[in-house]
Amino acid sequence: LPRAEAIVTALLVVICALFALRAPAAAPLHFGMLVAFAVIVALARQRNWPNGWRAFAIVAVLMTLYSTIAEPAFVAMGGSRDALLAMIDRALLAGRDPALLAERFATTRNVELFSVVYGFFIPYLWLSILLGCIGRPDAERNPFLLGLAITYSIAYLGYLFVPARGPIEHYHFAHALHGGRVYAIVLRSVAGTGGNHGAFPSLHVGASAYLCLFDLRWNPLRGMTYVPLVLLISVSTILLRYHYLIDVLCGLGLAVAASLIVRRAEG
Amino acid sequence: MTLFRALAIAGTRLFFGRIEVEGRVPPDGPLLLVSNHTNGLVDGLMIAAAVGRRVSLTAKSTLKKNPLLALIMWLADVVPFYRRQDAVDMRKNTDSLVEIRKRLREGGAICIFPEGVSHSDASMREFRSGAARVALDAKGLGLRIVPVGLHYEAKQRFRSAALVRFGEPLDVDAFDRDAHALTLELERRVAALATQFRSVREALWLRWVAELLASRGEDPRPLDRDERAWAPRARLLAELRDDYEHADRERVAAVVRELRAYRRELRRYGVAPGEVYLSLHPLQALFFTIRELELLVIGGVIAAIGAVQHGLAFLADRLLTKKLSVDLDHWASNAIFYGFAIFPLVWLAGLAIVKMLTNWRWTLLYALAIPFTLVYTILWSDRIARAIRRARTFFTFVLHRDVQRDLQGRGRGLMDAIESERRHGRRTPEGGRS
Repeated sequence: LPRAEAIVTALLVVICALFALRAPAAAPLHFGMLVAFAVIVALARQRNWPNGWRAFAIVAVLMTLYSTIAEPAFVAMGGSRDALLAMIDRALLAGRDPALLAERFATTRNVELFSVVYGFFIPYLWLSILLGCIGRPDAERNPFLLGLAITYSIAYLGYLFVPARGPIEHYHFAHALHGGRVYAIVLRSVAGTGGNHGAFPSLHVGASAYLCLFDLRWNPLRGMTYVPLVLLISVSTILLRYHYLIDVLCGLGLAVAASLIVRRAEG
Repeated sequence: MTLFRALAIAGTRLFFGRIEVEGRVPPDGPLLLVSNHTNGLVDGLMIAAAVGRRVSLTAKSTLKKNPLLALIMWLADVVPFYRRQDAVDMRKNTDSLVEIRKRLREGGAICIFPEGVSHSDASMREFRSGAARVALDAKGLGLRIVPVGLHYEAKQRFRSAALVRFGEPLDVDAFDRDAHALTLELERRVAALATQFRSVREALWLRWVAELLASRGEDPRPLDRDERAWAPRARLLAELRDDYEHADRERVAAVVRELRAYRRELRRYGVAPGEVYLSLHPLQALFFTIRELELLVIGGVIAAIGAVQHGLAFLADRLLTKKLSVDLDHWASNAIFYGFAIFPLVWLAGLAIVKMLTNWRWTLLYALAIPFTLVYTILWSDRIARAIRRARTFFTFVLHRDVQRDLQGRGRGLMDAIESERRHGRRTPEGGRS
């Protein structure tokens, strides 16, 4: 656990430093978050609080940062890097745009179906965190938190230094997406967490793949249960125009790297 | 990896819920594996799957009469032996021995079951001298013999546990040309690896004792971390058998009577021995519900697809196995070997139907899903069955708390009595036998 705390602290320091220099309006909030986190961690250590509390602090910071760093990142970096990501995507597919290629599959039925998959990430994430942080012994909880901290922290560095809004805002598609009720819920949820931002890398893919890899090791049946979901989430992020292909690939790479680091850290 | 080894791994891993391997075999050089033989053709598969190199099996020649087994024997590169009781031309054994010698000279590995027949006896049958003669015939080649002990939790039961124990290798060149002496030595070494009992009844209650002691009187682990390690239980069983040798039989008989009564009581309430100490704490029950309900609902979707893809094959395999198995030591063999034919046939039929009803994309997806859903459905069914059993135990104990208290008390009493008898037997130099 101390390693997970150190990673989150280091991430907060980087965020504070970047915002202090390039987006001062967002600096106080994150500085406050850094102080609060440091205090909680120190108190937890000093008073020997149960590990569940320290896990709660780590998860709370990681989940809060998803919304708070969104817009300040664009200010700090002076605009979005969508053009760069689109260029990499074209290079990956020999001059063709994956987002535009996926357009012909974006029927109303498919959009609705993949919205269900995309939205399912949220219960999967929170249920995994609940089971990972509370329902496990320390020997499993600590590596779980370390991997989660690594996945989110590296992804947030991507959000900070390569801010992008995704294909949905970068491309001029022939047709807007049309889905049903679930797609409408997805749209409202995205708007509620700061709009389109944080395209690179895909945390939908990175976090779900990490959770799946972790379970494949510790609880293989649960891991296997979510393998199809992770694959479908990867497809849904492209079909629903939230991510570039490079975001998805980097998300998967991030999950694999986090899993390997955790295994190595465990010795 | 040969096709046969891949089939051996797939067949044994799917049939048995847990396979553990202890010890190692030399990775190269001529090698002779000698093993106990209690589970028909599965024994050969277990060894082929556990040894990290190509192994040629030996088997009775009459197996080739079955076309499916003949095909698998061809894949496995089996060396046939011609037995007197099979009324075949025994002179052909000369060719088999020449073939074995050739393979050993080429640095190959051969597996022989010196008992000559698979059986369900409580202890090993007398070793025949064939393996020793083969070994002595290869003297000077640097041949090593590895004794193997095969243990099965319940050899005919789907998803039960198994253990393969490899002993220390013997250097054949260090032995005189005395086939009888070498046979006895091999028998002694294999017997040390494969637990022996005086009777099936003795084996049964000693297994009950091992199961009871393995519970340690503690809250059972959550199902996702329930490793169900079989090796420690098998070791405990061997220790118990040794302790029983030195125990006071009359005193033990009283404990066994109480144990039988305890087991009857457990059966009456449908409670497994390991779950007597199940915690009834609401928070633990809540986590159990979340974990298992998640798998039941979400995993149920994949398992339902698996049931469509493999349900018919499972059913047909089970029916055929039931019809063709005349004894316990051929049940698993039949299930696995007929499965090798039934499952691919059902898959091909499924693919043909999907292709007829849809297009090639769905057919490809269906084909790609087959291995995943097969493994998943087996694991899921296994887990859900255990979850249902644990939930039933939980509700039984919630409704009858006095029953749990009583069972816990009797279980602890039995554990104390058993440990006391073990200590008593060890203290008495000549054993407490009366």
